[in-house]
Amino acid sequence: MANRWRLLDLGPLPAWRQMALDAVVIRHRAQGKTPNTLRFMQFQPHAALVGYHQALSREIHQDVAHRLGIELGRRITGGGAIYMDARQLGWEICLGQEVDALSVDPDAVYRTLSEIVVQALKRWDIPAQFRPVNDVEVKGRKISGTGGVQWDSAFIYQGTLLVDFDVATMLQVLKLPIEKLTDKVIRSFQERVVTMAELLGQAPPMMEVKAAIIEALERVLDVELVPGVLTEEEEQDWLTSQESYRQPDWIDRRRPPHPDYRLVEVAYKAPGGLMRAALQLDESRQRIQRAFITGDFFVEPHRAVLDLEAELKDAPMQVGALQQRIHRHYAAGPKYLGVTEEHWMNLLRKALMTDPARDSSGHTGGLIAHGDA
Amino acid sequence: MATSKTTAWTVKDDRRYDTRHHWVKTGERLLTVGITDYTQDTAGEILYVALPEPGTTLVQGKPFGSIESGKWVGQLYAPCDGTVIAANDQLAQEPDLLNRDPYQTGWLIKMAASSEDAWENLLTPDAYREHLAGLDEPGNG
Repeated sequence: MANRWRLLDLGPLPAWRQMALDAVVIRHRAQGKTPNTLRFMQFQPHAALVGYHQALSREIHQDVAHRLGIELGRRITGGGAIYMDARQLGWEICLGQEVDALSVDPDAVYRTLSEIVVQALKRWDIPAQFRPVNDVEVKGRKISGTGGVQWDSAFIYQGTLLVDFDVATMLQVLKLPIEKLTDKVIRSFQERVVTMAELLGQAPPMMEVKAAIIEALERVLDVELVPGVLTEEEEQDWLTSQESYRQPDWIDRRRPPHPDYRLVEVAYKAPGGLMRAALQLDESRQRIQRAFITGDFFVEPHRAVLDLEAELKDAPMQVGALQQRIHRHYAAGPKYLGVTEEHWMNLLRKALMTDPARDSSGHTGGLIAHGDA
Repeated sequence: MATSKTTAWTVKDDRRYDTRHHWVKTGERLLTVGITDYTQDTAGEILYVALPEPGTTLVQGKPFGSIESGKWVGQLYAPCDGTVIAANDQLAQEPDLLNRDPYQTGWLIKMAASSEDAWENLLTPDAYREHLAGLDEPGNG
């Protein structure tokens, strides 16, 4: 008989209560007091959440969030800032480390968990696939992301599924490599993600999406999900701890020496066309936090640009390390016309050479540099 | 994180270990604590490290900090009771030191142990090697 897991679905909740519940569920699982659990998460009101190690000042336009009534929160899991509203479905599994189907390395864990989303989407004939490290995409466009945390002998793996999504609000509230929010920029970001609503013409009922995930999880992990509730002890722990998850001590606990990323925009004219890159630079860690690449060059497949952005995420701000990543990107086989590895390096060298003193930090007034091939 | 990998992870003979894959090295008065080759290898590229302030009280087996790699947050656990004397500030700027040099420049904290028995209660290098060997056996994790 399959292992029995608990299914928790408490409906839409404010972010601070959701985050508190994450910590409660994982603590109690680590203590062996509760079974492995699948939990659905929906957010009401809408929320902007930073990852466990991120700084609020760098990731969120807090004035915009306040104006739009968007709650701020900090997850206990890793990864980047996300915008969540009631039209997306968050799901997570909390489990002890003895689960055989997942007794493998982290890369394989993410692949297995992504398979749950891939299988769930098959119900609507949506051809999704795993995108390393931990995303699910449909024809190169992201539809689901995952992250995780370990606490003692228990783990939480979280995922989001874009049933529907308000890209315009997300672009307003999250600090992204954007100089100015134009229609073109909005369209470009819309090309990077896809929702079930867009693929199907309308968003399917949330209950159907949940049912598909339940069925897929049972099949992929060979378990049986049984609807359940929090234990009395979990309830009590949740009640006493949840308030702290909406206090600045938790949400704003990371204060980096540079309160903002440096935004740099560079352009380079290659024989194949104009290449543009907007980069968020984390000067504390000397890493590229995030890259946004556009241009009028030709590449096949089109998604190669998104793969390149993924390669540059968290890359060290060093020429040698960037060369390695560009080379790895080309080795994967994208066919660029008139754009070589060296052209990308010329573009990135420009970004690295911009003078922080001349460049404004953050998101108002980056530096545009042009060059000839 | 469990692993199916059968790598021979480096275990240094000049220090001791705990079952959560931290090393502890003794000096004249202080203990230095870090993560082992096993942790850095299975975690992958480490992107963030959060460490406690000097003066923080440590309780054996309880988290004192965290690391993040590939959207994965893992806790760092105190190998024994004591007090943090210093944290490795360099890791905030160069978290990949934990990958490149976990046993030397990638140390995490220096601590004063509460008890003189702390050192004796840790695993010897050979005992830790045995612990690692157990992780490679099918069904363990």
